[in-house]
Amino acid sequence: MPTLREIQAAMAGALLHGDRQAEAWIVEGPERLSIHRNTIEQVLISALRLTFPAVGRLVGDAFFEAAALAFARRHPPPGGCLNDWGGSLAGFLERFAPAAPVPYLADVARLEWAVFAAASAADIPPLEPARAALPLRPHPSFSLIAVNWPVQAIRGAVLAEDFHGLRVDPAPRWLAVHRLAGEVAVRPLDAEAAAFTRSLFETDRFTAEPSPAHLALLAEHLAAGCFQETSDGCSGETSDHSA
Amino acid sequence: MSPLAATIPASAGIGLRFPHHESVVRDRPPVGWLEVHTENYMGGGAPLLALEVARRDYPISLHGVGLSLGSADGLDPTHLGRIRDLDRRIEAGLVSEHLSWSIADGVYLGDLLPLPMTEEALAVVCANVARFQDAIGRRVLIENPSSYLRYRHSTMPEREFLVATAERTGCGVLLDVNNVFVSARNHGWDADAYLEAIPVSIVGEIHLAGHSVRRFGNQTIRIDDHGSPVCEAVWSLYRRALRRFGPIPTLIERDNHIPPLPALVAEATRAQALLDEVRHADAA
Repeated sequence: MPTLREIQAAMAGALLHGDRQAEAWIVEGPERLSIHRNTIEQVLISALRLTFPAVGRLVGDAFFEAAALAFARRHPPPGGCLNDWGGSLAGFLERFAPAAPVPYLADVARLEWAVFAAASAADIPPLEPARAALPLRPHPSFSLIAVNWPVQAIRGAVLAEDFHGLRVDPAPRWLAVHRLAGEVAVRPLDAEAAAFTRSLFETDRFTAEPSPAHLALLAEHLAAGCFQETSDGCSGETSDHSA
Repeated sequence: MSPLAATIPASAGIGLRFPHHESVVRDRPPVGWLEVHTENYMGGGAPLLALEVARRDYPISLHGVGLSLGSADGLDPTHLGRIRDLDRRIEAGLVSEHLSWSIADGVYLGDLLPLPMTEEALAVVCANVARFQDAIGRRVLIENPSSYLRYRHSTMPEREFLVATAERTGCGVLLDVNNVFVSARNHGWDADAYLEAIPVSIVGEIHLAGHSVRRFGNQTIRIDDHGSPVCEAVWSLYRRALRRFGPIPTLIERDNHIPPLPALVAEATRAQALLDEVRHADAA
């Protein structure tokens, strides 16, 4: 008799990939597995649709569902909280051949994940400006993403269904995303500001005297609540969805 | 009355889902309590804030769907910690989970999957329930599943497995009357015999929901999709459950095709009338 671990591994294989080992173990016959397979597909597709509404609208339901299932098979949710799942969809879409005709799709997914993660990040008080010291530690809601398309404008146009005046030209862009007082803010940064921001999490001292513009940016980040208290001297880490 | 019902009143409540957050806080519908899916509030931000606002007016029950109590691999300590933190933050009246599994080899499958009814699986579930209760520092309720398939390896009836879990771990039972009905119809069990097998003292909550009926080859299968009103046959089984278990906190659950709030409140009002009836009968 198979162990519980063997039964669960075989069932997972049957439900996600159509493996056949578990079929012989079902009293009612293998067709009943499709009830669970259908539920799993609907649950996983719905979770991604909630997190990535603009991606869903850009490609339409049929494409989105197919892409979501391909993603779920390749990068299934690692734990029982589906809000944690989807951070690698942007990277997946970059290599997903059927999405190639929509070159900005992955970058839109990158922005939507940053916005979703910011909206639902843990409630942790932002760092008091007076306690700021390098390296800074990003607030759980903060991420800095690098994209190659005007994804803020694309996302806004798609969600509002208003494409008037939208220009879609490729060029490197950086966006700081975080939540303050319940609202998610997306701030565009130029290349230099993005590099300076990233350095705040990585260095324990400035290699050169910061320019007035850099100091103003640091003050802006502090006021916007982009940092959290650094616990017992540990150095900060950028969140895993940062570029 | 069950000792488990101490903080969630023995009245009718409704499942709170995101589309109703605003109207529940604004209109304060006449229901005794609210239940939410634990995993929807594991982060912070607006959802948790909305739950805290609702908490000012209603006791809250936390009903988890992602812990996977039946996993041979054991429980995720991070997930346990997040349940504990949420429980402390909103001071939940009840905490519950399912008699099922959803995680294998580090992959979450997003459904409440059936367990083989074996001694080995029972030992795994009991160890996991004990760890769950230790981690959050309180007794939990375990819900009987809707079942569509059985394994050839099973050696005991589900009701025996459920009762043994409660006896060995001290947990209580969340009796989903719709699930009893669905599984009984799907497998030819006697739903009333299922209720009779559950000791009165261990039931801390009842769930009521709708299900759908589908053709499957030449068979009819009932599927617990929480997408329609409670059907008359389940209302009738609920009456019989109340006669056996007495007034128990009762939840109207809906997760798909979520209707306007008044429709859910109307179903809760119907459950409340039945609860009142059995309470008066007990008193007489």
